[in-house]
Amino acid sequence: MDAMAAVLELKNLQTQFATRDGIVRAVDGVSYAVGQGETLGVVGESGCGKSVSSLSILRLIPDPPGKIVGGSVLFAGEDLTRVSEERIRAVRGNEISMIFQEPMTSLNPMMTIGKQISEPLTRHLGLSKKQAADRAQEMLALVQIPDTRKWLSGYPHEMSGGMRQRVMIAIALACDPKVLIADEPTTALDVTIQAQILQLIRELQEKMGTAVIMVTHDLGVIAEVADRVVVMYAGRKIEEASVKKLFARPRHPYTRGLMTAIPRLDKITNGDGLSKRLTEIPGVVPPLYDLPAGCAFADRCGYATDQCRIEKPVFEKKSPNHWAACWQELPG
Amino acid sequence: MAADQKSPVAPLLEVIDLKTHFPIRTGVFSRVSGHVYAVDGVSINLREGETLGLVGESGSGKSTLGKSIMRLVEPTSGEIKISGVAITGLNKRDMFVHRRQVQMVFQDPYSSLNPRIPVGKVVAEALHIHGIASGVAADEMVRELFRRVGLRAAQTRNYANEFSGGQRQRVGIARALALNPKLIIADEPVSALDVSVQAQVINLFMDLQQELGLSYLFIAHDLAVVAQVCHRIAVMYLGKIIEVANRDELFKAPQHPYTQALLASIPIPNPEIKPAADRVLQGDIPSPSDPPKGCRFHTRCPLAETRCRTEEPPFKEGSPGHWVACHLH
Ligand SMILES: Nc1ncnc2c1ncn2[C@@H]1O[C@H](COP(=O)(O)OP(=O)(O)OP(=O)(O)O)[C@@H](O)[C@H]1O
Ligand SMILES: Nc1ncnc2c1ncn2[C@@H]1O[C@H](COP(=O)(O)OP(=O)(O)OP(=O)(O)O)[C@@H](O)[C@H]1O
Ligand SMILES: [Mg+2]
Ligand SMILES: [Mg+2]
Repeated sequence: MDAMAAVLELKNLQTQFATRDGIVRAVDGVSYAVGQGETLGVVGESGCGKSVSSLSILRLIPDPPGKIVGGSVLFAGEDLTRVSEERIRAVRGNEISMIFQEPMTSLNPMMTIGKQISEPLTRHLGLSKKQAADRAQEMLALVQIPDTRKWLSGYPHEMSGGMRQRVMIAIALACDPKVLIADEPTTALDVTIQAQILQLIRELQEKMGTAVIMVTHDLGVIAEVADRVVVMYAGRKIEEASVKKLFARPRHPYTRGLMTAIPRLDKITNGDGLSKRLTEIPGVVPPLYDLPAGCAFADRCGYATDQCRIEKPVFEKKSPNHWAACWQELPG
Repeated sequence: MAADQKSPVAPLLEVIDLKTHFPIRTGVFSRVSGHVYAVDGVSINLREGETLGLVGESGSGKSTLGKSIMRLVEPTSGEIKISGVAITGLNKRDMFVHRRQVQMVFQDPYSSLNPRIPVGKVVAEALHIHGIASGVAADEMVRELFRRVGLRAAQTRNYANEFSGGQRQRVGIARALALNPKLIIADEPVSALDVSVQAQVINLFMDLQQELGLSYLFIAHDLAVVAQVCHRIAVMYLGKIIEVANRDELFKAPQHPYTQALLASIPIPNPEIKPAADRVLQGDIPSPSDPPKGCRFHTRCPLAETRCRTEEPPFKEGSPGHWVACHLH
């Protein structure tokens, strides 16, 4: 991310939780940036800090037990970790909006769909009730909800999962945000509905130049929508590259493991994958309150040496547009 | 496995025109105001040592079909046969015996284990209830089962919350294996797992089939996972099976427009392959309590003709072993 001007930039962000087991370093010095019209993919194992890092951007971490203890989030010349409570509220759902992992829990069950879309519009943009209602209907049409008039007065529980997720997108996009953070926006959905929603986000992004941060564990989704990818493991960024470079030659053994562990339909249908065993990544992620001194992946890594166990690898440039945190030079 | 060397015996599992409808109750008197046609006339069969994949949209009735075969929910009508024996009419005692032959592994390894009992005890209890073993003998069997699914024998003493998701799913598999079943119904067994752990569990399923000649009804929404483990695949839509074929046949020559859309919708983890622009289906899944007349897919089908809206397509065998319910085939 050198060439393009960043709309949003995380610099060495650190977010921790105080738990009974100790300090959980959920986000342990993560940096990434996203430019206008760009889609940044964020992937990694469950619990590696993807959601916490995106929630930290908007200061949505429950405090206590959570706290942003270091680093900065630069947006429009400001550090969002330091701005006033009032300012961050004005940014939320307006300049930066977010689609959450679980559509049902993030919609208000007691409020009509129409109200949920129009409320931020009256609050942030100062639209009149009538203007906001019109805009809400427009947004519903944009996300391809049929019968928009009827649904304005409908409630979330009356909708299917796919429809609810589209309402979330309508809410997230109603204020024309500069940045859209989509945290597993399609994980709970079927592939046919997922395809609809990914296409929708893509179209809206093209129309409005929104910068998109797409958090997902699905490498298929990443390959399809991301321009650039950040791979996280145990609270850290361990690899970053353009999407093509990442898939062509992953530089971190964890990323490699991910790529070979997923069943690949394209390989199977080529007739060369007749129920072959998948390549496993042995073991599990270490607990975040008790991370090893060296590389957090060393225990599961076939390339690990003593150096890896003792010394944290430096995140360094491996080739143009490609960085990784690994002491080893993996074979091509 | 070696199914083809045997004389033509009854299939291990035979489901004939199965219907499982749930009443919708409304109002103060809980009057039945309608039905959810969750499973609405399904016929499938499964040979020994075979894995049949069951895919389809959320709410299409996959879990209900699995639970109906387990008789965890009561089918409304139709027949289920295990090794030729009809189990739909069995009383409690005979059903108890049948239970041993068919076991289920659930999607959520978190909620399917009692958090207050050591996991080894959970498995030992199953052995005891079914009169297979008890006491020291049962404990030894449990340790053996744990080793078989890639856990350490010492871990039988741990509680569910001391295991990772992948390990819990292994415990779930050990529990299912305890009764030495012929058929395992696996309902989204890897959906809740991390990609890196998912591979471990999928490999375990495949290894166990090799070793024990198990059959699986493998329910999943991830088609790549299904393609990895299944010999044949059945596609469900709104309570009905709309296509069944061998795995390779289904992926190479899908016949039903819904199957085609489903396959086209899967994101391919290769950024050099761009998704086809026209693959996106329009519209939502209709309500299973008010399914469309005619072909249930016609409201979203790009190819629907007049008769698709009025006439239900028959389930036909177009080529050997490849069945499809579509007027256009
Ligand atoms: N409120 C909290 N209290 C304590 N720990 C927390 C809290 N919220 C998150 N964590 C911890 O922070 C770590 C990062 O969690 P996060 O939700 O960011 O993971 P993720 O990468 O989004 O995973 P997933 O793919 O499962 O969504 C986890 O280990 C989690 O247990
Ligand atoms: N006990 C029940 N009572 C009433 N309706 C039910 C019950 N169980 C399932 N249903 C309904 O039956 C339909 C089929 O549900 P089922 O759980 O079998 O779907 P599924 O294909 O397994 O979906 P998913 O992929 O989301 O797990 C759904 O509309 C569901 O709401
Ligand atoms: Mg998350
Ligand atoms: Mg289900």
